[in-house]
Amino acid sequence: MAVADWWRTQKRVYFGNASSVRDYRAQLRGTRPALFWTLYLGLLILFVTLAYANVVVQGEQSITVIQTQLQSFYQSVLGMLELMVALVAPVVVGMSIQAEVQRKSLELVSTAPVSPKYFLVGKVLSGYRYVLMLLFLSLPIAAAAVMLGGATWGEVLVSYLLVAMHGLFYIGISLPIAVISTKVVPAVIYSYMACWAWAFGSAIPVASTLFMSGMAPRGSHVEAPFYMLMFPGAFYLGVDSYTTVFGNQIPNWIIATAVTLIIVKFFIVGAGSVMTRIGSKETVSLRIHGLIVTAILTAAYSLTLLAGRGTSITPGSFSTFDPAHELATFFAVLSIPIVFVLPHISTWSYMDERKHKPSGFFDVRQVLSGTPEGGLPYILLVLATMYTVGGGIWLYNGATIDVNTMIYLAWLTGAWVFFWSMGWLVSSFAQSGIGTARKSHLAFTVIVTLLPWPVLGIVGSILDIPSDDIFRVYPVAGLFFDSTEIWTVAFLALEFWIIALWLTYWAEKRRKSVVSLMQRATNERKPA
Amino acid sequence: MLEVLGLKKHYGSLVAVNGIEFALQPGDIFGFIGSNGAGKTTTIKMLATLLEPTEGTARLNGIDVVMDPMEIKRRIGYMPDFFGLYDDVKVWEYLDFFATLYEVPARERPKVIDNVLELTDLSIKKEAFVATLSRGMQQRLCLAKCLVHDPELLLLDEPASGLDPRARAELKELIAELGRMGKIVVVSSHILPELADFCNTVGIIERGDLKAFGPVREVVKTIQTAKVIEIRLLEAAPEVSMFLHGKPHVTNTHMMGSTTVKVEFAGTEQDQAEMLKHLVDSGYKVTEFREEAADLEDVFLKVTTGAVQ
Ligand SMILES: Nc1ncnc2c1ncn2[C@@H]1O[C@H](COP(=O)(O)OP(=O)(O)O)[C@@H](O)[C@H]1O
Ligand SMILES: [Mg+2]
Repeated sequence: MAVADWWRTQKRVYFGNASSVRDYRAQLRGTRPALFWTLYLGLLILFVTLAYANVVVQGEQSITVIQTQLQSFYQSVLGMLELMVALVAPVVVGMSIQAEVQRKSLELVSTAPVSPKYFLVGKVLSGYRYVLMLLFLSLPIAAAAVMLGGATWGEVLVSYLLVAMHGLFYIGISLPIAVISTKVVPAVIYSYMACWAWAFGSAIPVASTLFMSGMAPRGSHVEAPFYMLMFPGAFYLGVDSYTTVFGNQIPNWIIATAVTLIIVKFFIVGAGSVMTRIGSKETVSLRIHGLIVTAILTAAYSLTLLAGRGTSITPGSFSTFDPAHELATFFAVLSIPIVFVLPHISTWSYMDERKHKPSGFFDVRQVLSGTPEGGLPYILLVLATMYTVGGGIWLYNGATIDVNTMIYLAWLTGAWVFFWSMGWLVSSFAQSGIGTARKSHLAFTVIVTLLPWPVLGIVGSILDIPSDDIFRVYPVAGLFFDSTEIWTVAFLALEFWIIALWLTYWAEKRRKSVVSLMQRATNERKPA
Repeated sequence: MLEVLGLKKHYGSLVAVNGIEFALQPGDIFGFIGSNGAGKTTTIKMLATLLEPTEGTARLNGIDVVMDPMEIKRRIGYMPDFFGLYDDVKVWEYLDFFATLYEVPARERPKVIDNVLELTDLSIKKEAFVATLSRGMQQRLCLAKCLVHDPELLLLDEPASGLDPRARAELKELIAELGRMGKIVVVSSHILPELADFCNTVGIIERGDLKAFGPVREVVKTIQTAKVIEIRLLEAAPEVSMFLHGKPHVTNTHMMGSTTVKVEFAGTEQDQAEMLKHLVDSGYKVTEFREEAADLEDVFLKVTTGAVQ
């Protein structure tokens, strides 16, 4: 029965979703959609004519030269599609959700017996229709590229699947932004910023990926990290790459698709949680999804790193590295996404809705409910998940975990406890929950990026201390320099924990005085 | 039956709704009256599960608004004070959308849509685009969407605002019909005359407190300090005012022209009959003797200006 119920719910959410059907009816109407698609087709034809003219115009050429030119033609088609998707996908969902907020139709939907997930999935489906249309209309051109010999059908299908996944990813990113925003324009701007930061920022790992895979020619069957396919910049170079998982070659497009779907689900649940009250099913679900995504990303990333060094990792192959430092860097890199959620997890407020009111600073029972006192336990739980899964896979592959590893982990854990305590303190100086989160983001940026380089650099030059020595006492810098001096790491770890404890103590003192102030205000309002 | 139990809402230090309590039965049309900012919308949104109460709760046929919002949502129809309709779809598509959200089976949807269109007198607009409807029709369409799932409770926040008199009269007729269908209807307004004539229960809210609640007549009676009796005579008799002034239970008299006098009277109906007899016995030719129904408007003004409590 439970399974039947579950299936019925899923069917209701994903098929015949009323939100999606409604949007679909509107999307097909009027002259605007027709105009838009005609324009798009016109552009496509123009682009193809120009690109193709470029290929054939040069008269007599050897077959191989034409072959290469056709391949670059195909690549420019993909590049243009990728660009169109990056232009369209980030805004379709945001505009559609914000339109509902602005015209106050969302309120009517909220009183209907449907979950936020139902509404959000409906919006994703109707927004995604645009992306699929973009791809579908360009298929004839891709087909032409295949006929002319610039690509194979397999390549085209996988590439289209991947571009479709990139579009879905953009939609996923823009979803929580659309729900948090209060106006259309900021929603659109922030969505573009986030999506393009992802698209351009990913150039860095892709560059190192290309380096790792030894600059293999496009489309060759090589081992490469799966995440290469998730990045819009250079995915087409790796359409036929694979990852070795416990001795099996798994095509990367499968892994990349699965990971994309999981992350997009995470974004949907996240946006759903924003729309509901504290302790709601959505919030609990978000937190559980957070743990699952953590585990999967950790596993996928560590398998990739290990695969990059050859299929069998023996303790011997670590001898040239410092394994503890290697593992710590791995975890440090992996934990960076916490930055995005930390300001929302670590802050509280007494001014607005009950959602942000804490009744303490640490309560393990609240770990999944989304209340402020469950924030720190949750961060620790995420880190623990990461350490368990990542450490387990590395151990299985022959790495060892020793005292040094433990010291690195104490440093990394201390770092996140420190950033949490900062949010906790910032909250006592701010009014509303969202305002607090913004201030906390700012403080984080200052501490991580602005402070170390310009400020510490200047301080160093004034005091005439080598910058290495300055960084050595700056706890955040532990991630960035390659010193394997374990005593330095131990010192930095200690530094983090002491500062974190002190900030927490200070913040708690301020929080308690805010609580008693609020209570006094409430008592005064009550009639005698 | 709807029971509102100590419903309270704080916005930071502002108390928007201060622990109000009342109960309504099926068929009740409840006029929820209060000036702007009194807390009507906040109360209605809490009942509609859109806002979480700071304290207290409400129950609809035993189902708790706070504990079981999904179950409540299936049983209520909510029409907000400001609402947006999807203007890019047709009327029937709009209703189809909500019927789907409310899990009306696909087979029954066309029939349900026809029924609510019939009820709200929008049948001829079925294929029209929502954007082309007049304000009054949009109001009725919003009401129609509240009805697709046959709810037990209707929450209508200022439904008559912005309507012309004709549209307003149609709306009243429609709401009265819903009451006859056995639904509980909550209608809010900041303008009293809008509600006075078709509600059977009223509540007056002021700064978050429910100052009065009950059947219209009772609320009027409890608030009213003295009744006013209007007496009309056949011939001009300016001295009648003096004549009545000293009589038992008469607290005040006013001449309204030369043949009509208004008497503020604090006695029982028996005393009232005595006074009439006395008048007639004294030779006054009484053509009319009637108790003036103090209207809700007076009560409302008294309550909201602090004349009571
Ligand atoms: N989201 C909110 N934040 C802060 N105060 C609010 C909010 N919503 C309403 N209020 C305040 O609560 C009080 C009651 O408002 P409301 O319920 O809308 O009154 P009404 O509908 O009777 O005109 C008003 O003083 C209003 O300013
Ligand atoms: Mg209002």
